[in-house]
Amino acid sequence: MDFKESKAIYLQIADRICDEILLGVYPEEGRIPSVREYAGMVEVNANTVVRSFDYLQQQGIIYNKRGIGYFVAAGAHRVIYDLRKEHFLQEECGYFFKQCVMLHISADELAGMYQDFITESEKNKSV
Amino acid sequence: MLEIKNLSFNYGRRKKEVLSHFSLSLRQGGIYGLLGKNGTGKSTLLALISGLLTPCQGEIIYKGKDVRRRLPDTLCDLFLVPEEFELPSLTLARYIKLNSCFYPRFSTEDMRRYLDLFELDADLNLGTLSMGQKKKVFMSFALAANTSLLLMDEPTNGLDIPGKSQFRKLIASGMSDEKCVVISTHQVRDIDRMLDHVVIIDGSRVLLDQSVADICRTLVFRESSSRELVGQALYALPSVEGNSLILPNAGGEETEINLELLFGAVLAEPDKIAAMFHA
Amino acid sequence: MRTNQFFDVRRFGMMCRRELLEPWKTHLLRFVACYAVLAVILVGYGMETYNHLSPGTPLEYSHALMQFFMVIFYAMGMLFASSFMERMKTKTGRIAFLITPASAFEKYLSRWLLVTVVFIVAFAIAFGLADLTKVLVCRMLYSNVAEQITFVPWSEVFTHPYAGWRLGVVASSFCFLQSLFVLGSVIWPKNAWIKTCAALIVILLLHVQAVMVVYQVRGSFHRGFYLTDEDMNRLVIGVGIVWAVFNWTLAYFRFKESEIINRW
Repeated sequence: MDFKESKAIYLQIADRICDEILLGVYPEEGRIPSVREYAGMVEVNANTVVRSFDYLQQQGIIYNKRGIGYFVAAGAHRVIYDLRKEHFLQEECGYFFKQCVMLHISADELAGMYQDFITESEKNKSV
Repeated sequence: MLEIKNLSFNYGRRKKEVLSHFSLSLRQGGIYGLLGKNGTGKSTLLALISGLLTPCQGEIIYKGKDVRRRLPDTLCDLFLVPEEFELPSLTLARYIKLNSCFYPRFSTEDMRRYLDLFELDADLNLGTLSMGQKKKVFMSFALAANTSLLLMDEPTNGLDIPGKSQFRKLIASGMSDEKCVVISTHQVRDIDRMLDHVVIIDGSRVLLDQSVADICRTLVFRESSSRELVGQALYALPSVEGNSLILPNAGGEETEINLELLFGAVLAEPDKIAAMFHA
Repeated sequence: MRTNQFFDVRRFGMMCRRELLEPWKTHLLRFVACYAVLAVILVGYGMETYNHLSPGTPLEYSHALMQFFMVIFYAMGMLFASSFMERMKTKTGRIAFLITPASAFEKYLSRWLLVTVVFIVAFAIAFGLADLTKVLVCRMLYSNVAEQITFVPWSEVFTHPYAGWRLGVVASSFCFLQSLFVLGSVIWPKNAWIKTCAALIVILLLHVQAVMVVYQVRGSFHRGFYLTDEDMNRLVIGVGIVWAVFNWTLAYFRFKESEIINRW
């Protein structure tokens, strides 16, 4: 069984903002565009962006200074990183492991492949 | 803000009514998508809302006034961008000078901003523009008039792909909590992410009148080749991934709305879909 | 800020300004056409007359000529009256005109002013320019009789003893005829002039009997009641104006009911 699900738009936008924070487009304690500005940038209904902002606020990634706007929270990088790690391990790893079991791939095989991958990427980094 | 009560309308004595006992309510701060197949009365409805046509039955009340009275105070607070329109052969500056005075909340600053958005020069001669450019200018004017009600009939028709993107930015930029925008179109993909509320009509009936939020809470949109899912689906359409499906949202987790699919579903199985919202 | 929904001076001013300036190309073209027609006639007349004139002979403008120009004035007036509702010719035009945030009365009155007052002023100016053209051209061509080439003496008309009554009759009959064409323009925005003429002819033909009776009655009315010429004039002026106002009012209400699709 396979299905491709398109996440709710507000979550897609939240992801996009997180990406931008991680890339440094919006530094910590820096201001992010207003709801309307962002809605214009991504060409989406403003209420959807409100939902995204609310979601990010809940996660502690951004906060609202009344009358001034939204800002990236201190430590947001850490929060995003942790959230993504958790999501990856819970959701995507679960599916990946299922496939490995189905295809009879042993844990050692996986560990070996992962180690090789790490070594390879370290090599490319230094080059 | 706008109440359409029991509206019926037909052209001449033809038996078929274009709109029949049609009722609808529009609220401030919302972007409404008015969808329907060609010839199902969308343009007629917009003309009726603007007071350009007289209902055979029923009434349309905008901010407490009957629009058919065509009161100047009512007209200066609404704007219609028709599918086809003509612009006089004047310079843009002249045109603005002669026409913007009728709209008390017109903002020249906004006008300039929207022209920039469309990458148009401020000193244009309207007579020399292409149809697409005329549309961009007129829509900029419409938004700059800052009327509380903005009606647009097939706004993305005739716009190139960058133009459609600029249009979305225009709406996002010009929207406010005091305004209500109604976009009538059959090119659903051009505006699906902009909408707050979806109204689907078919000739005389309102087939669907729901907010996007409610739609996403009630239905999920999936691509799947699983037979089980297809069996459970309210509506299925073959696609590259197998099938495009609409399923009831049992899990509470929302997906992105597929407005084209929903449109097809509502036209094919209106009662089934409507039942989902009344449950 | 609530304004009067029937008539607001500021809004009316904006309406007038737009109706005058937006279709400036059309207005200019019509003015030039008007001037051209008058210039051709006047210069032609000039060439005809001054050709055979010998120096020293006093020249009198014939009344026939003045009347001819009055006819031209009437004819052009009717043509322009037919353009009263030309904004409503096309569907897109109708949408734009009806959705303008002004009252029906303001829209109506602004067009009326254009078709009446502005027309009269423009015609006078065009005539003046055409006359000037005649004088300049003819003085060049017939320099021997230069002193006798003068402007058309309209001032004589105004100083004539019966001028007041004459002008009254002219004004009222012009208003009456014009109002018929204004009404026609509202009923048939497309090809208004032809349709109005056709309608008038049809009405007259249908009522030939009535017209003849009225004509005879008028004669006996005049004699039987010992009406003076003045009284007759008064009657004609009165009936003309009243009927004109009736037509204009009818046109206004018909306009108010206009839609963007013609359903009736």
